[in-house]
Amino acid sequence: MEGSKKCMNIIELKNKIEDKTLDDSFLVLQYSDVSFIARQYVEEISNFKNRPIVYVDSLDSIAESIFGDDGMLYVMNTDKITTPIKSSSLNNKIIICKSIDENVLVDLKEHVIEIPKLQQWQIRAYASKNLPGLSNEEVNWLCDITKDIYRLSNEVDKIKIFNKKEQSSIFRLLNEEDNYGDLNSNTIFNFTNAITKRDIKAVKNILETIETMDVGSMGVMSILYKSFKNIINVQMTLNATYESVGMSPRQFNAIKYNLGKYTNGELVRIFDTITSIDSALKRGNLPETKIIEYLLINIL
Amino acid sequence: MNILGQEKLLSKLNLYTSNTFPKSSIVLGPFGCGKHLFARHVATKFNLELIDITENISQEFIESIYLRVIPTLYVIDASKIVERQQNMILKFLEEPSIYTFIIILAENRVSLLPTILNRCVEFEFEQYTRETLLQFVDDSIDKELALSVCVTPGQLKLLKMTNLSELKELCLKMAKKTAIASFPNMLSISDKLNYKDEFDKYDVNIFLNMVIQTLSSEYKMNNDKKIFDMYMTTLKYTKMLRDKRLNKRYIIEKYLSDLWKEARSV
Repeated sequence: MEGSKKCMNIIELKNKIEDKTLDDSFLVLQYSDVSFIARQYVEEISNFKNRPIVYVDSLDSIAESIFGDDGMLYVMNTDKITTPIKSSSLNNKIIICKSIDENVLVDLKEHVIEIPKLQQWQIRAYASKNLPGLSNEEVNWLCDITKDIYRLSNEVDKIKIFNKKEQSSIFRLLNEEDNYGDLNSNTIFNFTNAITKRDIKAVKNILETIETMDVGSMGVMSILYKSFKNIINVQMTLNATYESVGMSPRQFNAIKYNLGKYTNGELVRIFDTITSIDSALKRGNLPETKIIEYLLINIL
Repeated sequence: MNILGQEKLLSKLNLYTSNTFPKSSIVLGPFGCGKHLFARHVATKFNLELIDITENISQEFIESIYLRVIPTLYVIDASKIVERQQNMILKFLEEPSIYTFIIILAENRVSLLPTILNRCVEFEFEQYTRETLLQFVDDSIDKELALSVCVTPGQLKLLKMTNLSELKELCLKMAKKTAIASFPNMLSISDKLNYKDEFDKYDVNIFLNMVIQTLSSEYKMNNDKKIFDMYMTTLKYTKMLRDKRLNKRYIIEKYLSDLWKEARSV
């Protein structure tokens, strides 16, 4: 087993990530209630080292690359470490665990970083940091309604792709339509992205998955509404700049690459379709189960 | 407590005593007519504690109410609850405890489930007369303009916070320049309206009333068919907005889109 450094605490780890001074040494992140924070740290480490995360069942099974470092960050997530780690090189490998067998702990001790129990204020701080566009009341409400950190994280993911200015309105839209809790964020966003890019093949692939999942169609509609409105604002404004349409440069550029997939006339028609669905649904003219089909027929 | 110009409503209330006042009732009237004031009046008259439970409707909360032994008037604002919550209060309306009275505040019947309507006694606000409304207007605002766009004291109160000349200018621009505006330009009007507690923005009803008033006078002056079409479209969407189940922002943006297309039609 390599490495003879003194073990860090969570604050030192945080500082090293922020200062970008964390080396490649093996880490064991030991949590006491939920693995959420440990996973967040792993993501941060992956981001700053620019190493994609590969989750593995056992660190021993990772074959050493004959070309040396393969550029990955290997992560093993287990409830309890019961057997000694035998891998020859442990650089860029992390174990997330809840407990460690006493016999194994002796060898791992210097690598273990204890993750304290998640406090309520930390959960709120996490939501506030990721959703700067929401007011304190909105953040508190979201934290209260989601109850656990994983569900909160799922909801945060849905909103954080929008810029600060739009976050509050998309939050309200999702909230007004009583959508929280039923969406799978990846599916929803892949799906709506495929529609806005007019990528029919991708839409078809995702639809096959959606059929077997509980997907909130009103959520799809809310996000499509916001996405198409952004495209309209950029595509149909003469000489649009990010300032003139009130967007961040990053968001503006992302939307710019999606322009021209639909003509201006089509965009207006799509906008009409989306804004009409709410009343069609609530007045009983369109069953909720048919919303996605209706959207696809009228958009693509 | 002073509820001006609602003699019929008050005389209906006066027919009841604390023993005969219905356990479950609905108060109907447009935004700003004084529904909350009426609920407070009922609570005072029958010596009831008043609690607004709109924000707390859940199965657990309703169950906890049955444990209370203080005579209480529970107020629910129907415009702020979803259909699922309306279903949740059905049993509560049907079998309230002996200490419980419930008042649901709603702008119209269409926003309520028929099962709720069947279980409640209705109290409906009358349309305010011009004379009554004038008592709520001070000299700081243009009285005629105010009365042409507001139909309730509450709306007049909101109007005092509104920059009337700017709103009028916006409506005039809509009447005259929609044909040359870009689509994003047209949709940006929606961002100036108050959909939920954004009181620095224009109230949606006041805005639409002002558009109607502006289009009507423009049509009288120019006899332009397109203005007439815009006027009719505005009326249609004003009516649609009375259905509180619908998302106001979607309605307004569909309305703006329709106006934009009409202005371009040959």
